Amino acid sequence: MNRNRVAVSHGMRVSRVSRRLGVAAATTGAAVLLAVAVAGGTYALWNTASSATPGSITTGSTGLTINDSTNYAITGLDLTGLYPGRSVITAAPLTVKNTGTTPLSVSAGTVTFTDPSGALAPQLVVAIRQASSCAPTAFGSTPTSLSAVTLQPGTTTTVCVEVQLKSTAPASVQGLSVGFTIPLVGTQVRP
Amino acid sequence: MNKMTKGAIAGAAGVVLLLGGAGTFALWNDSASVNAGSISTGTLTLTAGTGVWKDVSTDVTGQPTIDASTFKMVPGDTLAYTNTFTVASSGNNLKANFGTSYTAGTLPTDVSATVSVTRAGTAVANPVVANNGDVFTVTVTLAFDRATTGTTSQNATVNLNAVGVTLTQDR
Repeated sequence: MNRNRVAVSHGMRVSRVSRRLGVAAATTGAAVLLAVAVAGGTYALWNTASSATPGSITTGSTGLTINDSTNYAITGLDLTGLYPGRSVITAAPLTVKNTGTTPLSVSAGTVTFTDPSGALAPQLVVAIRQASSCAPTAFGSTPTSLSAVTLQPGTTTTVCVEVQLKSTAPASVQGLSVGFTIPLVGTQVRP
Repeated sequence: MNKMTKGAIAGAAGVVLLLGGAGTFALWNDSASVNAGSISTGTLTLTAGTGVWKDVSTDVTGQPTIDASTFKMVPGDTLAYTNTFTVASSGNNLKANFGTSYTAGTLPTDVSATVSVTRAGTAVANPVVANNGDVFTVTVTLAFDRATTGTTSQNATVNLNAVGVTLTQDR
């Protein structure tokens, strides 16, 4: 309001205001022109495009079966005649197969008993070992499990499961029974 | 102004118009032409080669070529997909940039993909000034972490996005 009043009373101020407006308009115009020129310039030149298409790759898998099962119930293991120092073994070997796509190093895991706190469990030695035919370990020797057997994909090997009652077993474990599970663990190995 | 004067002015105007129309043909004229010949425009093209997958795992000798459709990737594997792109450009004042764009997308756990560009075996920036005849090799490296445990990412499909390759005139 104050400026307006001054402009009205002094003729020169009016013309100065209008000139300033003119300059402002010119600046805005230049800015718009510049923006258009920059944005348009990028697309106006030649460009060509292509692409590299790798497609897809699938990951492999690991798999281990005993007699075509991932949880095989042992048959043919007669445990009735165990006495201290004696071993019993599966009648026929079990087939272990690598059903995955990568070589596996196969080892026996830790045996677990259905009644680990019972009197019989600590007196048993359970082993799973690589053998083409099953024969019990000689009296007086302790059976040992397989360790780090490399199985290529699709190949098989045979194992036997053996159970021994320790020669130091006390008489108190007579007539007892216990269930057990022994895992086979396959770990990927690089070729 | 009487009628005679008006008539005279109109008559004169008519004569002037006639003269103006006919005068051009009555005088000498000659013609010549400027023959500028012809000008050709340049070119800017990008030709893709054939992509190849290779097993570049450090513990595999010889970096064998693999079939991506049958290969089963396992932890510790490093695979590389390479494709070449040849630049053809002509133009006296042509300057062009070669660039790539890539988004990895969703990959299985412990699997990673990276893109690199080389020219004559040397890594280049993105984008980089491209000259006629340059051959750029775009490599997508797929790595499966060796520290992967359990059964992580087994039987998964690794879908790789395409790598966008552009050749853009800079001037």
